[in-house]
Amino acid sequence: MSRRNRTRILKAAAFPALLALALTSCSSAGSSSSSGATQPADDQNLTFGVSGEFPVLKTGTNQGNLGWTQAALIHRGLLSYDETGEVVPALAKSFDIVDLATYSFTLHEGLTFHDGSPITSTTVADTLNYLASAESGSSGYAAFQHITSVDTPDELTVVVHLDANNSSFPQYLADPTAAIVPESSLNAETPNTIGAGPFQIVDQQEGVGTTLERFDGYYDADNVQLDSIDVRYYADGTARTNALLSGDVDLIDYVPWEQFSTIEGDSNLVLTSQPGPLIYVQFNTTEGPFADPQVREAVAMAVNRDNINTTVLEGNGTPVYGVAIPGGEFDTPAATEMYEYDPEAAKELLADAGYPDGFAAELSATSQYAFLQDAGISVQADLAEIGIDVTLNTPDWPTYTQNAAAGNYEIGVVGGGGTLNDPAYLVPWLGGAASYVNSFGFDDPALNEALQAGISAADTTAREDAYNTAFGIIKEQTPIVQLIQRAQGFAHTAKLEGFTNLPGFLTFYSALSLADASLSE
Amino acid sequence: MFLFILKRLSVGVGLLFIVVTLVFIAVQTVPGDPAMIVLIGSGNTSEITPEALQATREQLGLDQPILVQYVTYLGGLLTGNLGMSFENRQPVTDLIAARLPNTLELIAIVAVVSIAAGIALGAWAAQRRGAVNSGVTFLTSLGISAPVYVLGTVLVFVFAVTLRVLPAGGFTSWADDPVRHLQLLILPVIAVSVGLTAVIARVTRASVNETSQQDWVRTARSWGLQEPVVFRTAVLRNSLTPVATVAALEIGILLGSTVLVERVFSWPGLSTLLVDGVAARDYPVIQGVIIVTAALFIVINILVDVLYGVLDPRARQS
Repeated sequence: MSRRNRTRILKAAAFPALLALALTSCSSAGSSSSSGATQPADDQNLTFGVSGEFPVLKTGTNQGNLGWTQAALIHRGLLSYDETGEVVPALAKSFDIVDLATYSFTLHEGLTFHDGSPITSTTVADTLNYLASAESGSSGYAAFQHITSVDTPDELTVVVHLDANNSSFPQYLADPTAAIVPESSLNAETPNTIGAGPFQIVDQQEGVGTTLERFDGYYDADNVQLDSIDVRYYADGTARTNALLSGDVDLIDYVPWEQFSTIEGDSNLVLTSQPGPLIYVQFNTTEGPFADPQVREAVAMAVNRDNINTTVLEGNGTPVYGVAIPGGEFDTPAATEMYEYDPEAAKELLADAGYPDGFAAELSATSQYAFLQDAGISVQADLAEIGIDVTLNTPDWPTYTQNAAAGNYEIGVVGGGGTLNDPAYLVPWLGGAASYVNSFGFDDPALNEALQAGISAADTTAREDAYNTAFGIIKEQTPIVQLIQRAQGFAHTAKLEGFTNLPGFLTFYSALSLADASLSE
Repeated sequence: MFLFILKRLSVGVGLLFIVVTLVFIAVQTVPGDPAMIVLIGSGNTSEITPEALQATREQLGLDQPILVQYVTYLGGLLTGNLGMSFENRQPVTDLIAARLPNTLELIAIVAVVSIAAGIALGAWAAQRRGAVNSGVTFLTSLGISAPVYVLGTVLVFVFAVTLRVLPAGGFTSWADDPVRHLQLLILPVIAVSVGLTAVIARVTRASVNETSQQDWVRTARSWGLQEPVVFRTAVLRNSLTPVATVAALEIGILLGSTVLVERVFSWPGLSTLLVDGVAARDYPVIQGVIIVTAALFIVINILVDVLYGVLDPRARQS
């Protein structure tokens, strides 16, 4: 993101939450920019090895790491994230928070999509209205469903009205899946490949890669230094790392944890990692022992996070003893220090709950992602220590998700990350419709109310009060047990400058920073 | 011969229909909701609304009764339509058309290399016996027991990471850059060929040893023919029928099982498409790849039957 745009955000940063976000994220690690003065290379063609095939993008939907990466390269929304994880204007030249339920945006003049078609306020309104529809399956539906109207007083002005205050709304708009797209892409069938982002797709080969070239119509095209990006698909982590080590590619995503030390040992390479997605425990709270909050709390106190870190993540995780709110103003003890590892206290809790001799249960963990299965094995051993005799069930991912959403499990170990560095990410994790994300059957109106109060709070104090209330209920009810944040790593040649691994859950949006990256001699 | 091929083709079509039906039933009975996977992918933690789930089911045709889905699928097959991928929203025929040539090219080169090297090694070991035989036995044992992903990783480490004389993996089409295309083929071909060469060498050696004891070989020698002529005309040719059988089976199996080498070398083949399809419960992709693989397997076996006739005239008569 250019310095010019960062200056513009100062206006929005007057809003306390964003200011706090900006201040805290200034201290986050992950940037790999070299500080030394270097000559830009004549060849500004980057080769990027990614962890699988780019999906065919569907407008608005969350398609995981590779979907976000592709969207970050070819799309832009009204807002975006800079290298510190701060929300900054993108297709919007500036924006005003009229009040927390009314946001006004002014577009850059002369914006076009890759196909040359113009972007006007009407285009923006059409996209936002599509994202607000339940059928769209949009990633930001939790926020966009509250859009009551989108006004377009002129071609460059967009005013969004919400039915309630939402201080996190700008972050939802900065998500790469909330990109502004042509009307022809506003359906589930049309591949969402025409964007207004810094790079445009010029070639895609099934199973091989995608070639992108700089888009001269991008609003900040003058600051984009890479001429092209050749994205190559390497599904296997070792193959991806080998491609970097052998010089076949300049940048790779999803560095396997066991390869961190290899990369760090090569002076020509740079490893940049961030504590990102979580590994956590979910429960079927409708019946059996795990319907009792005391039993769930006992699980929270029985699991040795350090063991998981050592045995599963090669020491590259960040243990969580509450709920992780990465890089934000709510990364506080109230959120992150709810429990401590104390098997004896866990046994007492079990006894208080009526299980002095423990009980038997089945623990599900998908075998499709080895680290989740291994985490399940670690949890199994820890629960045995307090008398819970766990049998491991390791289905593949589609079976796991179907079982979890239908409540066909007792206790499960699963993984995932939020879509924003804000407590608002917890809403679908702690309630809402049954899904593989939350604990089956858990619904606490007081918790839902506290989270919504935090989202809609008009000032920082009210937000703190509401979220602290929510954290208190979470500790008391233990709807899920977050265990550890896994390190999400990128690695690249030292010749690549300006690439940044964005903080916290935003790590998956890191390709946004390639708009500011360059190759040096 | 023409009638023979026609008869085998008819049986093949019948087999294919059975495969289509069994695969269709199998994918439907495996747990996992394709619509949910389309929406959550590898880990979407956003809220999935029931409306979005239902809209996706309708879009994929999963809201139709199973029998209707089956009949629709069969109807599509008759016109060469393998359906649309749930994940990619692209025709499955296009996905297979993009991958199949890569798989066939890899397997074809592997087959040529392995058959040539395997027969030569096996025949050499059988002829020479002694130290040569022991050496070939040792090497073939090693070749059979070395997993392709281990061998592949070692090859990449030596030739790509350390020596930097070959690329670590990936794919460039022949049209874009023939030299790079060939460079990218070298390591995967070696990785797959080692095991297959070892199998063929062992079968050849055993078969040559057995054939060498036959009466007609002794008769040929008694006629005063030179040993190389006896070996070429009376031994080797008569030893190749079991070799052809094993080679055909192994090559057929390779059609759907090169996933490890495809992963290690990021070679965009059919096996990866199938494995990814299973992981995503992409029914049309799973069915399409299996049907095409089964069809190819059947064709290869018909070709081998024809080859039997060439190698041994008695087979033509039977």
